Parts: sequence; C-alpha cells; structure tokens
Amino acid sequence: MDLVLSSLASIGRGTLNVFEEVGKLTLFVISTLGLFFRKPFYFREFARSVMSIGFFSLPVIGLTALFTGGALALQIYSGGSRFNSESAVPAIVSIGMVRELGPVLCGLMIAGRVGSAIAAEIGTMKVTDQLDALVTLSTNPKQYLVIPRVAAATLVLPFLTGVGDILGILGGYLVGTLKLNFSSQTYLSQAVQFLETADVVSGLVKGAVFGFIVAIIGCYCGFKSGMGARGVGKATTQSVALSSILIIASNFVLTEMFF
Amino acid sequence: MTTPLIQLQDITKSFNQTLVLDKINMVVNEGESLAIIGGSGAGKSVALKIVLGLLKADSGKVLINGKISKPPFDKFLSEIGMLFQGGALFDSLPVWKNVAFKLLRDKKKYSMEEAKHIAVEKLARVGLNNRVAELYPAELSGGMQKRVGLARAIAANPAILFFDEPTTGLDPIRAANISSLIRELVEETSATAITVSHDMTCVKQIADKVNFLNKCKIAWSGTVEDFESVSDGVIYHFVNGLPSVIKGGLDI
Repeated sequence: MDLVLSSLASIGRGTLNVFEEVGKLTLFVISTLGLFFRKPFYFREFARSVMSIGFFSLPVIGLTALFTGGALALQIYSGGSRFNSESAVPAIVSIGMVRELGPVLCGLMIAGRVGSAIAAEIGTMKVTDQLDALVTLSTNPKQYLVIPRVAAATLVLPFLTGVGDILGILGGYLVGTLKLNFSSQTYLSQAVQFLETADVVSGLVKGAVFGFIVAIIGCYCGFKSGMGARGVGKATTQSVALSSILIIASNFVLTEMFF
Repeated sequence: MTTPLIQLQDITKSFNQTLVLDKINMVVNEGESLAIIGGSGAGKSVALKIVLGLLKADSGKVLINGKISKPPFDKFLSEIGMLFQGGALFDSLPVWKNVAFKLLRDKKKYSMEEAKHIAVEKLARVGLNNRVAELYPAELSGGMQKRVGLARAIAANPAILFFDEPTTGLDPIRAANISSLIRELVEETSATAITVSHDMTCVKQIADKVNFLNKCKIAWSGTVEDFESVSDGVIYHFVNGLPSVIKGGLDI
C-alpha cells in the first residue's frame, strides 16, 4: 500500500513540476514579448548576436546540410530502385531538404551550438552577480540580454535555413551526379521542377519559429540557472534538451499547418 | 525631524522555509555611512538586495525618502552606485565600457567620447591607468577588478553608494587600500553609503554607524566607536575575532 501511495505521490509531484515549469516558461515568454516594443533596443548586442548566431554557425550548418543531402540522395535512390523510381531522387531530395530536413537540422544544430552558449553565458552572469549589476545600472536584464538574442535568432535562422537548403540540395547533386549517374542538367531541372514557393516559405517560417524557440529557451534556462558551476552546467544541458524537444514538437504542428 | 533616506520596517525574508531576516528595522539618513555587519550567512547581503529591490521581502516595508517602494525601484536605482563582492564586471565589454555603462545608456547626455573620457578619469581616481581601460575584465587581477567595480560605482556621481563585501578576497594591504579609497570617495562626493562586510578593519575605516546582524535580527545598532567598546557577549567575540564560546552566541 505504501509503495502504491509513494508511487502516486511521485507521479503527482512530477506532474506538478511539469505544470510549474510550463507556467514559468509561459510567463517568461509573455514578459519578453512585452519588452519587444519598449525602448531602448540594444543594437550593439543585437549585432553581436547576429554574428555569433548567424555568421559563426555557417560552417556547422553548411557541413551538416551538405552531408545530409548526400546521404538522403543515396537512401532515396536505394529505396526508389525497389519500385523503379530512381528518377525521383532530385525532386525528393530538394523537397525533403526544403520542407523538412533543412529547417529541423538547422534548428537542432543551433540548439546545440547557440542555445547552450546563451544558457551558459547568462547562467554565468547570474552566478557572478552580473544580472544584479545590470539592474543597479538601471538596465533591465531581459531587455539587454534576451530581446537582442531572440530578435537575432528569429531573423537569422531563416537565412541559415536557406543556406542549409541550398547546400543540402548541392550534397544530393554531388552524390547524384558523381555516384548515381545522373546528368548535371537532369538533376538540376528535376530538383527545381517540383519545388513550389510554398515549400520554401514553409521551411523558412519553420526556421524563424525554431530560432525563436532556441533563443528564448536558452535565455530562460540561463535566467533560472542554479548557483555554481553545477547549476550553470545543468542549465546548459536543459536548454539543449528542452529546445530540441520543442523544435521536434513544433515541427509536427507546423507541418500539419502547412500540409 | 528629517525623513530618513532609506528605511526598512519589519522586513522578513526566508528561503525554502529557512528564516534569514526576522522583522528587521533599519534607518539610513542622508549623508550617513552605515555598515551592516555580521557573520557569514547572517543575511547581510539579503538585506542589501532587499534595499535595492533585487529581492522581494516576504513581509515588511521598504521606504525611500519616506515613501513605500515596491520593486523594481527604477528611480532610486538611477541615483545609486554599487560595488559587488566579486566586481560583477561584464566579460564581453572592455574595462572602460564597464565603467561608462550607465553613462552610455544616456546617449542624449553623453557622447561616446565624453563617456570614455569620464571612465578614464574615474579609473585614474581609483589608481588605474589608461592602459587598463582597453583591457577586458578577465585580464585583470582580483584587486584591479574591485577597483574597476569601484570606478563603475562612482562613474555617474551617485548620491548613494552601496558596497557589498568590498575587501573580501583581497590581501591585507589591498584591502586597506580599497577601504581608504572608499572612505575618500564617500567624503569627496558627500554620498550616503551602505556597506555590507564582516571585516572589522574595513568597517572601522569606512563607516560611522553599525548595524550588527545576528540570528536573523539586528542584534546591535550604534556608532562604530561604541560597537568597538562593547566588552562582552557575541559582539566582543566578533570584534576581536574570537571563537564563540557562549551558549546561544554568534550564529555562524
């Protein structure tokens, strides 16, 4: 009986914790959105964030997309050859990259590279009293740290997604022409022929949403970081795990919307 | 009778059911230099954070210029300067931008050049040269970081200065230098000062008045001279750095 009760109690505690966390995150998002329309806007911080989130993520995004595009071409060719549909490789690679893999991979890579860095930076600032210092210097820490990062990530991710899409298609093209015996012209014309504007737009919108998620979760985890190195480490891990889950979940919702 | 500049009335604060401050009362008059002292974990920094609105009290009132204030104390914060225990300098900014941070926010009042000029001036005032202005906080020693923190605190010529453990982590010579520098700056600017410390040597140099926190309450309040002359009990042990042997003594 005791075992049953203690199991129920721990399930109850877990459920309450989840609801508490969701509530706190919602309040954090609402309070942040409210600050978007308030002065001042810290352009220097914004520019710094654009560089670190956008420019310095290009190699990671580029390589990931390139190899994924290549692997995707091989897999589709392998599967397609079972029912004589090898010719669909260019179209499926381009649609698959643009609608799905481009934005999702981009979001996940940014969650790992940028979300963790944001959580660690803000967490360390909290541990070393820098957040309190901002308040005493008449500066709202959310306005100074969160708004520029969230704005930068939301604006930059669609561009990174676009770059990822192009390099993913290039990866498929290289594999298609060098290994699968497609002619260059056939591959390119087929890759573009079946691609619609809505495919590209839906992918870029997903990119923007994932950028918002990564930055806001990174900031949230940083702000609620526990004290000491362990607290910062935990905040960093949480930011990657939470934003990855939210990216995958919101990807489903967005795909359903654009379906 | 003049209205106190800062007043805490029956402030209570606890963390996870651990009581830290129990209905404490505190008065700071304009131009005064008050030290809040007590053992480690006595709640000194918590009291300071409540005054600044960085923490919310569970109950009680904070009055600024006689008016009840609720965090965030935006107007009040625009008139203060604060030195944090570890400096709390922003790693991503060079030293001069750390010092000029508040000035750079007010672009209508100060151009970038003017703000930098003031920052370099304030750095010189705390004994740091031009070369330091261009360095980043990670390139400085602990003592230098404290000085930069001090320069940042006085950069906008605030009317009220807060010092959180200004000498902690410094060797005795650097600690004495920082203490005398603080005393000079407070006198120069005629600012009201509130210092949190457990370093009696520093308190003697900086403060006129002492509030001694023990067991979540203000156990003693008065002048520094009177505090030093207490000849028994927990205060005597604290002032003379003796182990607490009395039952129910210092809560450390």
